[in-house]
Amino acid sequence: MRSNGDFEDPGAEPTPWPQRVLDNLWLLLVVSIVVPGLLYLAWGLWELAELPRWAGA
Amino acid sequence: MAATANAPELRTCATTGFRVDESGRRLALAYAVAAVLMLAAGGVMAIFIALQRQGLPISDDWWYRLVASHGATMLLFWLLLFEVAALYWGSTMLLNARMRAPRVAWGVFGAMLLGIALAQWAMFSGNATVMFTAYPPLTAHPLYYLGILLFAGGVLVAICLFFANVVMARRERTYEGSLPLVVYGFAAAAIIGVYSLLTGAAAYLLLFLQSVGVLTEVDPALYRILFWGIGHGAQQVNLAAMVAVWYALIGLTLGGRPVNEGLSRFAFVLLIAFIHLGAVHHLMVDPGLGTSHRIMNTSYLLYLAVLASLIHAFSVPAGIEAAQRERGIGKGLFGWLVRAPWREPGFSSLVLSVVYFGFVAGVSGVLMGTMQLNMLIHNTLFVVGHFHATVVSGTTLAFMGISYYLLPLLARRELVGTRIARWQPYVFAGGVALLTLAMLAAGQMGVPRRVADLGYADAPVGVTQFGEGAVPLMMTLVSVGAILAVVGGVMYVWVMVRTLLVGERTDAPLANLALRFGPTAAPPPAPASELPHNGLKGRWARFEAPGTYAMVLFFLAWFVVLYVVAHFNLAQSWPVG
Ligand code: HEM
Ligand SMILES: [Cu+2]
Repeated sequence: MRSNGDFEDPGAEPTPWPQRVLDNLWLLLVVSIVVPGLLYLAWGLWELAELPRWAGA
Repeated sequence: MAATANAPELRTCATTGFRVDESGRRLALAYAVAAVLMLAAGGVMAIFIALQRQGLPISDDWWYRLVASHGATMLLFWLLLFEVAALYWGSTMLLNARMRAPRVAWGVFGAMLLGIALAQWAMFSGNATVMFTAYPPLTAHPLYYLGILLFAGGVLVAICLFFANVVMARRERTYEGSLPLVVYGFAAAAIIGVYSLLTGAAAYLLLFLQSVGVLTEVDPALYRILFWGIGHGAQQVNLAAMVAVWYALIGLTLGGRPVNEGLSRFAFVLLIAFIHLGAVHHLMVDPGLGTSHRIMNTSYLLYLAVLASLIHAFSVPAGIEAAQRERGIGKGLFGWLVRAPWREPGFSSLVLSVVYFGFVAGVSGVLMGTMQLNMLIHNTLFVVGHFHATVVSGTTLAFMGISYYLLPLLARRELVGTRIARWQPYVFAGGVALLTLAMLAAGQMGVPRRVADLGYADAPVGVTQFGEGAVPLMMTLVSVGAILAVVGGVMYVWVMVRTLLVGERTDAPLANLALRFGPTAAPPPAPASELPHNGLKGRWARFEAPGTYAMVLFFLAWFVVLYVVAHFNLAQSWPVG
């Protein structure tokens, strides 16, 4: 195997970008919180806040 | 050989060839053992709950305590403890890497056990008969909420340690390129777990503060939105972990892998991004949320996550088929399936788990996620039938299947009771199939869940309809299925306990495991330039996995049939015109 110390093998093909996206766990973590945080939580809480309050008997 | 240089203390596993870190191994083993004990306890409770219908003398009060604890013990404690074991195993052994901060990890383990003890005490002493949903204004003892919070917080720290292991492994270059697919699946489960645990902690924190008098009230609608972040989300952690275990089992029992790994990874990303939105399907009958919010989240957007599940569900048979055909096993459309290792518990539980998860659990779930159909079965036994199909015959069975390899490898002991292990997946799956189908049918007839007395003797107006027609028969079948399932569960626990206690301790390759993996396994056939001919004619001869393709077509037809049946039922209950 051709090795270049600690660095990527310059002769190797660069990792294709879709693979780099899939490999980026931090990005996926952010997506997993932002998507439901907006579409489910924030939207849902907003709908609850919009409800008219019962004035009481 | 970067791994050796950076981690000289790692031992090489004689069976798999992986490099094993002692503290990672011990932690994973401890979690797995605790999980199996929880499963055993939950199974004992299940038999009491189910047989009360057949006259087992349990007071209504105790029935509710048992249902509350059965739910928490199984859904939270068994599954999450096993998943933490899988996370530690995946992020150390499967990456040839070390366990970071093992002392913190042991402290967390202790805190989680304390949390379990507190919650169990509260439930069994009648101080927390709120069921695991714990909707306010129901209130429980503060120690119940504290116990659950401790446990959930522990899982969150374990997830952080998993990421620490993965990041450090990458930095120390103990693996090259992308994460192996199985570890990638565990990472997806861990990521999905973060949002789940954060929303769940927020929900339980509100209730805890109320129970100690800091808050005067907790808004039920607000609570429900927060709670289903974890109530639904935790099931998706189970889903991702189960799929990762499926892929692991293909590798262990057949030496195979999915036909298109990139597609499988993409499916995990779809789950990560969209599966949480499905939480609204638990709030279909909730007042307060608008129709757009409910339909957008449970239909249009959620179907992206359903697509992910379908990709996984068919990647598995395709992976099996490709592995078999590569070795030239089986001709024709389904010869590879007929000649598969059906006596290998890891293989049989894999197939039973995939088939049942797809055909019963997934389809019933998508049906229930339809607003109109949801109105028909909300809070009936149909729901319980659906989720026992997912978490029991799907996740639990897959976890049982991998235990037959994982526990001997972690404990370095020979598996004891291979004959029992061979039959166990069939008995368990058969029992759960009967249990869930009978529950689904009873739910269709309107039988409610979480009701001890179906005659409503204490109500001002008695209810007789659940003593008539086909309902008693269905409830009897529920009990028969429960007995069979528990027998299957006992077989599993028996094999695990015996392996841990009397299994022969060895550092040689484990002989009672039939692995097609690692240095002791027969080497795979040399990669041929062309696959062996599949024996089919015409265009089918060109497919890599023609049998799987035929299954996909069959599955789509089955889906259409169920949809038509469900809408027929709907039309019957709400006649139009
Ligand atoms: C061994 C076989 C099992 C049997 C016979 C069984 C049976 C039952 C029965 C009869 C109920 C009560 C239904 C009602 O509301 O009337 C129930 C509830 C439940 N079961 Fe199981 N079960 C089994 C295993 C499991 C497993 C392995 C899990 C999770 C991984 C699980 C999770 C639950 C949950 C979450 C509930 C709902 C509790 C609640 O309503 O709060 N069960 N089960
Ligand atoms: Cu859900």
